[in-house]
Amino acid sequence: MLCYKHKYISIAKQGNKDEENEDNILVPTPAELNNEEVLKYAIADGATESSFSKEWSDLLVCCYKEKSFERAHVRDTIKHISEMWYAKVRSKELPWYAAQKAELGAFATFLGITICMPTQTYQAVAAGDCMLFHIRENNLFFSFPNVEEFNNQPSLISSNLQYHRNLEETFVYFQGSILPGDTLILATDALSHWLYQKQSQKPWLALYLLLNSPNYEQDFKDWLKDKIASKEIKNDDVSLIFIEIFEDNATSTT
Amino acid sequence: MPYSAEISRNNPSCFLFVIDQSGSMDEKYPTINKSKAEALADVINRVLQQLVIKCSKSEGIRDYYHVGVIGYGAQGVKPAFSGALSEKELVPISEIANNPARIEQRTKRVPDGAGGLVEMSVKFPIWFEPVSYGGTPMKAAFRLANSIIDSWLHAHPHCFPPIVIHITDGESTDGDPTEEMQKLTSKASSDGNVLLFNLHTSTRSSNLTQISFPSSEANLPDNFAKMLYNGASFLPPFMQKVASQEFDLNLGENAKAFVLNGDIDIIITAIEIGTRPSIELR
Repeated sequence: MLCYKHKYISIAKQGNKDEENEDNILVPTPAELNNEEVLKYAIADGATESSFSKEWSDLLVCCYKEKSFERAHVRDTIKHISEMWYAKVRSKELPWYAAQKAELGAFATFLGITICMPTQTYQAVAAGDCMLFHIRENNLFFSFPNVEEFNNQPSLISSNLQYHRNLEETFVYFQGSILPGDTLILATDALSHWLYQKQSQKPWLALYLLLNSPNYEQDFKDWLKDKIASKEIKNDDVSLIFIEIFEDNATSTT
Repeated sequence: MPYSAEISRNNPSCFLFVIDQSGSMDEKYPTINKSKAEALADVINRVLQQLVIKCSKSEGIRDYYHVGVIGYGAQGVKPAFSGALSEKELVPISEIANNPARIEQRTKRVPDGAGGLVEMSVKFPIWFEPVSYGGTPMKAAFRLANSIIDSWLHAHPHCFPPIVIHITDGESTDGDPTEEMQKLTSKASSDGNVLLFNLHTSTRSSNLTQISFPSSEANLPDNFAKMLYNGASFLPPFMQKVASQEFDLNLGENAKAFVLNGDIDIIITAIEIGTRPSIELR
């Protein structure tokens, strides 16, 4: 039977406060990791240009746990999350500008994967330029969604459904299978872009080493700071989930 | 590459509006039955509202911009905000957000979700009142604009370059402002030169030809038009892109930030092009 361990990190863009980080992530709890047959991971990147984006990306990843994002159900799911978001925002006493901005809605990109342990398969769903990298035998086996997204305006999920004439078309889907030794990486756009651009240099090795260092959070922050300073990575909120797949029972999480 | 500096709270940029408030601004645009002064006050207040909303985040306003409005007319040249901001030249956008002179309730038509439109009451903040009286001291207005932009650039040498939007309907009554305009557009941050829009508006009650974003002065009718044309900046590529993508305007490579005899619609379009940042706000 396959087992999984993961590490994750989410860092606000340089110059912003930690609480201004508009990315959010979903990972299984340690109990779920050890006991559940289906594991859900998600990552969402709230758009800087909209307000209450952090709340929107948080609701998206949280609801991925319980709600279906399959094409047949995704409209109802997003409608439900949108109603939760508006209820949350409208419950606040807001000055005129915040109220007017909130009514425009929040925007986010999103990536979720559901891993089915008995079948050794996963289903991925994405909207926008958060990316999944499937690493096998230390090579990029597959990336999702199509990198063309980086050359255009990425698809965004809005809390304001008026922006979605064809909501279903905002989402793309992929189904894959996993083997022992595989690694799955979920990342928001700035880090995804770097991973994709540097794939010939196997950049996931650097991430593996960083995430396995004793002070990995600080080490990752320092590494990211250098990459941003050298303009290899765009200054942005950066989030990462790194999932390793093993064929033994030693499962752990951080 | 110019015009690529990050606009952030640590490295804000600025907009300065220079508004003609002379007596002729009381002429009405026939299409909307409002005077030029009233219509432009609405436009400036709307732009300020949009900038405030753009900079609004859940935790409050992020000061990506400082904004000033100066008016010139019977009372000479002076900052034109009303209320708590009167006498202030460049004001952080958060201070603008929190200090409108008053907030009016207006109606706007919005989609009803069933293919129709319904009227909805919305809050419309007012910072800038219509004024139309006296002469057109354009030269003095640009002298003050130069002084304001000098101070800004001294404090923000690496900012996304300031954008100055000048709106007028007539000829200068205090001398030729050419030199002051040249001084303004020769100023620069490390990211590029100050951008100057010269927007001339007309009620078009006579048979005047509207010219927008021309690439040469060949069709301009007189020296006054040529003076405004020559004073205006070339539209940089990012603004040309906005013009093309957002307004379906395919402009010449050397298009200038200049309008002659513009009706209120083209003035609004030009302001939209001038106030749309090329890059993501941080």
